[in-house]
Amino acid sequence: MSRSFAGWDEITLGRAADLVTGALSLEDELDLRSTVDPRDLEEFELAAGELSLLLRPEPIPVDSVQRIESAVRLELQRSRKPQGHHAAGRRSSAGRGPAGTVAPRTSVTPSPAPVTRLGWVIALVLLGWIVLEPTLRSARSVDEVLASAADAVRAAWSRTDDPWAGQAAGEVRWSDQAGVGTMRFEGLPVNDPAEFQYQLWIFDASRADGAERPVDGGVFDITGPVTEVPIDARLPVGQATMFAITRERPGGVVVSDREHLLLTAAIPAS
Amino acid sequence: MLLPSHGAAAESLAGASIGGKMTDTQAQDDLLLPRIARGDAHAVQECLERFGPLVWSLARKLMRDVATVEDLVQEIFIEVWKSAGRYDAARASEATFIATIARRRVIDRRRRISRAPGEEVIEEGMRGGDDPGLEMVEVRDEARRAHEALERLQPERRKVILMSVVDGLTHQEIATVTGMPLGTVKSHIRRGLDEAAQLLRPRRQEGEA
Repeated sequence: MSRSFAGWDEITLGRAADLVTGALSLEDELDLRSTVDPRDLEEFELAAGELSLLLRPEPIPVDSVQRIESAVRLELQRSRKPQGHHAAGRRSSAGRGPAGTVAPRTSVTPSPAPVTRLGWVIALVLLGWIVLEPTLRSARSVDEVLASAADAVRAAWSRTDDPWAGQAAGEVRWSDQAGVGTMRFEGLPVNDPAEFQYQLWIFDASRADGAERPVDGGVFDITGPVTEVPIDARLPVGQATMFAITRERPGGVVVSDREHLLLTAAIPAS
Repeated sequence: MLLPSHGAAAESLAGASIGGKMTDTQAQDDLLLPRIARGDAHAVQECLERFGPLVWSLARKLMRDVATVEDLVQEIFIEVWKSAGRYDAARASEATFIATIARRRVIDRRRRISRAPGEEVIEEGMRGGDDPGLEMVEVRDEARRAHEALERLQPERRKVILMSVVDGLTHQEIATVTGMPLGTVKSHIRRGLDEAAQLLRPRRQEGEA
């Protein structure tokens, strides 16, 4: 076999091999995922997964089975609760970065002017619809948009070993086509916006410099034990491959030094 | 010998790749992940019964700490639940899909904690495939393809892949156990995974998107 898997060069192949054998740092994994076709990498991971089946399965201890089953059922029940039960993440409107541009979209309700003649009423209704329709359309909830987006994906957060990640868990949902998504955080420490803020970075494989310069997804605050934060990247994202959360100074930074890289979520290849 | 040979492996040696994903080993109506994706609550227990031993063993091998393993297995099954909707039976068996999720989770966790060098010594001939009574149908069938792929590798390369991917040893641990230079271990892993991936995942190599 002279040609390597997916036509990768030796360095890429070596990094992919390190990834699936647990020998690649998180930082290098971020770079790798941003530079290769995610479908190729997923195929490579599936190959390693298939090789794992050679492992002789051993039974789970009975008490462990019960605890695992209970925990999974509890989590599933919890995740089925309506979104309204969760605190809404606070998007910062202060400071630099896209924060000011990514506030959750809100619906605008017109205040109808008092009119007496039917023609004016019809005209105003039509005018109002023409003017407001895009606004109303954009006010569709992110959930609705994601539910109807054919390319919508979801990925679980993975914690780094940074102690600031706490016991954080949750997931990110995203659609490249719609350019919207949401992040759900559980257990990420509540922050004082005057002290520090969390910042989202989106690795975009469609950008030539996607590995070195992830798209700034804006800063946000964690306000409770479970927090939902809408994503609305300032720059278009053609093919999101990875989302990463860093801890930054209030207002965020233009380029993160990744000193406090807390969470990552790799988007599964389609 | 690291791997017991059997007839199916010999038959496949003539081919360029190893055929048959799940469709010839697992009936469509027997699939569990689509039921999970539809929110079938009864599937929790079934999924744990069917794939629990695989996930548990994988986590045990790679983590080696029972307290951590239980927590990790919970995490993996929750992830399986959340990811079930994107399972594509044409691309992989359910066992492979779940094992891949499990590997990602275990590696993430392992990266977060420093892991002591393994106490376990690799025992040759301990891998699956030679004792069907202890294995589930899905895993046994899937393991056959992996088995066939590994049989095509050079013996040294096969041994290193087994130690790394199946037994979860670090590259340095493999170098220590085998006496090979670390660079040779890395080279065997790189080349072995390349060859195995081309045998097990040939379609995209042929230009299929």
